[in-house]
Amino acid sequence: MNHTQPVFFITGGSGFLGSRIAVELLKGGATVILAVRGRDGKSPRQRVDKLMEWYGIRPGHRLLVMPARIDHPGLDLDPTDRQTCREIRPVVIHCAADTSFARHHRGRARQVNLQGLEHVFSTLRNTRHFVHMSTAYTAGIRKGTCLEEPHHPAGFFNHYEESKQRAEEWIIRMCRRERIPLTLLRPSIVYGDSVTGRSLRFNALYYPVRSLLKLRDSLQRNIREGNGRRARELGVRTDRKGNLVMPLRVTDTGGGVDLIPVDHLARAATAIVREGQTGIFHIVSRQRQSFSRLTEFVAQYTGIRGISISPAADLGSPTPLEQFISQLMDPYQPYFCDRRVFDDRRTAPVLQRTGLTCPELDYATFTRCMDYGVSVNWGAEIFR
Amino acid sequence: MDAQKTATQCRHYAMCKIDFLDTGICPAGKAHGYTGFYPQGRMDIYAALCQKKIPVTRALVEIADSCTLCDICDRQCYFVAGLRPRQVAAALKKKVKESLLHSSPQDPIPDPFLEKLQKIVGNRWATNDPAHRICYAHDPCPVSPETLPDYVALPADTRQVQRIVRLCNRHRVPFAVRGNGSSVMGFVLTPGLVIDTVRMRELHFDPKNWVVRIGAGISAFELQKEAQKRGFRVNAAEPSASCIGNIMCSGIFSLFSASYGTGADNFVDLEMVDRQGRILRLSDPGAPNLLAFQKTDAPLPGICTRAAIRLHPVFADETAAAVPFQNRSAAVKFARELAARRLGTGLGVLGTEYISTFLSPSPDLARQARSLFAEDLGIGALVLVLGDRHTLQAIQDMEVPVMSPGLIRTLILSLPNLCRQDWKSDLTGMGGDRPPYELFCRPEFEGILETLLEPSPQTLASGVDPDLRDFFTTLYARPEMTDILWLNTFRIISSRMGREGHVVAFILYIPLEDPRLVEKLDASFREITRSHRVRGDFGFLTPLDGGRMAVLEWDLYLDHTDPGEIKRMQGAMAAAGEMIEGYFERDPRVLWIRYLLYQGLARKESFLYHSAALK
Repeated sequence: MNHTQPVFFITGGSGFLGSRIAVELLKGGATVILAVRGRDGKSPRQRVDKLMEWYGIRPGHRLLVMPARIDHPGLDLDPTDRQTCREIRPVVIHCAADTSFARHHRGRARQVNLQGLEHVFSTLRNTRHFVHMSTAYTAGIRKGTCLEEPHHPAGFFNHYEESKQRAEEWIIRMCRRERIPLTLLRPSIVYGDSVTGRSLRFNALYYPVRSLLKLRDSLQRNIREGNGRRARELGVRTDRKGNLVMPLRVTDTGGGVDLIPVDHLARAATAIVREGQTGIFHIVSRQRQSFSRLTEFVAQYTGIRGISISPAADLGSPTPLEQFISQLMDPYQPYFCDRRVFDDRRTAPVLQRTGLTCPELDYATFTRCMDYGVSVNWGAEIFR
Repeated sequence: MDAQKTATQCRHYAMCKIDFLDTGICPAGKAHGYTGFYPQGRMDIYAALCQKKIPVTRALVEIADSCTLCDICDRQCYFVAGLRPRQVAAALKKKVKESLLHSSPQDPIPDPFLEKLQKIVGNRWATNDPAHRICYAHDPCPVSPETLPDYVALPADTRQVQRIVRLCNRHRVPFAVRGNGSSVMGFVLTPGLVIDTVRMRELHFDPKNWVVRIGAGISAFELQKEAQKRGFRVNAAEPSASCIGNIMCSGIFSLFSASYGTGADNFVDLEMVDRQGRILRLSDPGAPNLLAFQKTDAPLPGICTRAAIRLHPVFADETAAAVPFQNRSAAVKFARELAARRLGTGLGVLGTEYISTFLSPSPDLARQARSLFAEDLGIGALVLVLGDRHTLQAIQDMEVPVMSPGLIRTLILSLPNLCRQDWKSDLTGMGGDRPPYELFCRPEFEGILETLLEPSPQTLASGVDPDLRDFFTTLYARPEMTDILWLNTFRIISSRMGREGHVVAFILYIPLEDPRLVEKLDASFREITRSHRVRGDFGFLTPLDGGRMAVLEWDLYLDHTDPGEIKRMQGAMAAAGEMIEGYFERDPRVLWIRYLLYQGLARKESFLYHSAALK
């Protein structure tokens, strides 16, 4: 291993962001260590091999796999691996995170997002550069422009935001104390590859689509194979062309959603890290999508007729179906009608120098991404 | 799993001896009575034969030949334990056939004591054949070494039991009593004579007095079934266990104990043969006081042969509902409140281990369901309420999320769908400030969920072995299989708790005024499982006596065929015992059921409030 060139130690190496950044670095000729744990009876190496096959690359000798558990002190690193890290002083890119918004997962989020960070930092504290993957939403509950500065919000929309903000505070303090250069990356909502549509994670943007597709398919089966009673009770029918008509009024309360494809995130993150930039960087889209436009995409993609945008006042008493959808979407509501705007004046020059711009989410891209999600049963069949 | 491995996995729950699925029971077992003729016995015999512990005897040949390979055992055993005993029976037949090619079966060994026994019970009902004896020689309990009895006898009535006891006393032969041939805790092993009460089948209802008189061979399931036909219910324990055996062991408790009580609350009178061979009735003025309790290792007071058991009326509008909570403390508090308000015929706080295990028709699905309920639906514990429509209405008025019988049915019949990865991540996505189960509990969404989850017997059956799917489809088309009230009354799914390993249950009576005690005990047990590297989990809690007290079960699980695990479990059990004693020293109301062994006849007041007795 050439110790003069930086080596990158990536946590969450089998995850959506970590693996994609690793691939980007490998393509650029870097040496990468992926910290991965065994799972579902597969060893870390087996998992990484599968992953690299999925990315379609042959990593060769520049990719090392280190079995690691970030929920364990010392990461449970093998003594040899620990020694290797001590010697090569890798650049740490900490991507491991728990992204669930669910309140009942707050213990797990704390364990992964805070204690996990502490374990990574204390194990690799002789790193030459610490890169922490955070989120733009550490901004918390607020309106207007959010700067690339430490956030001190009065409140949060969920415990995920809160745990990530606490993690930011902690790592800023620790890196300052230990005099370790720190880069904080704050992406907005990440979806699949803008060119191929491929993704490893299917939450956020995907969630309304997969929920509605599931509902559509079940109702169609109820009409086709059952007696259609359930569908009728919910006011659902099929039109002459066989399309499902599901009366569903949704409300656009303004703002928009900031979405970036994973390929852009990986390239932007790599560019910032390669330049050795330190500080806080928002990796966001400059063209936010309105909720109404996304709703049109969803309606068009699912082929469900009857979805309409209505002013809140017109909703009157919502139907059970509308209430159900509203409940499903509730955790994501702050992000789909978001009045926060993320300033990226520190990130922009780096992207400009490397010629990077964030691809727009048009309907074609949207379709590609959703088609991929459907083809792998929203992740359940990616590695089968 | 091959035949030999399967044979060693039998948990000895004796579920193959009761017709709990309406499939009928093993015809050979029914015809011959001895445990050896049932699938449970055949498993033991085959394992012993493979290990060359027993020879091929005439009785063994008869046992092997008696099996018709009818499949009933596969259906029954798969339902509760995920095992397929038919292949064991087939392997036994094959092995015996091979053996007979080389040598004749061993003849019975003449024995004067056996002849005396046979004079009492008849030639057919006493034996010293190793094939029969091995079926009573061991159980999965990790602290009970295998003890091969010299004899097995199956008396028919109290008089025969009396004569057997006197004979044993004269010849100084130790004896142990088994009800229905089941054994899981190592209490009924002896080198002498095993008295199996399975032939004592008196069953006589006295509806005017709300009492049923039963013999010691009547199982809880049989009793409950007959009681239900007459519009009654009994407070019974595990379905295959002898009802009298349970009473004598440490008293009966169940979710219904919240209203029916425990200990002496469950019976009106008992008849027993004491250790001197005298016949006693508890109602006799001169009978020993067995209603009292002493914190000591009490000896077995005698062999109970008959009992008059209390019957409780069943109402047509009885049903069940489940109230999920994010954490157990809130669930315990709620259950206590219900008990204090005298709401619910049956009450229980269940952990996700029980919920997932009970509801899943296969071990694989149970493993997936465990994370489904805890992680994806956000359920920390669940209060199960059994009661009439007024109880259910009262609970709904308490403004807690309630899983209705319809939703419970939907969840059971769609479990394989819900456990699919796509559904699990959908549920994860649902989680916001409120856990996803709250969404499930909203009555207005019941129809939508039913549409989405597509519950059906076929869906449920997709989670079991392919060759059993038709059977499970037919089975789960029966309404009672998704009726939580029925399932709790007959308890046919609670035996599933031993599916992934033998259960070592730690049962405690505890005060309920402070739910933190439950959490402290839970943390103490968890620490033991961690330090001894064994698996365990909270089982259930049922409030007793208006919520003043409760019975709590915490379970450790082990592979009883793994010597390493047995050793670790022995350490864990010793540590758990010490830990419980520590709690007792701080608060004597924390009482380990171990001290109720053979004191199951005691009044509940005698042991729940032993520290409040007049000095």
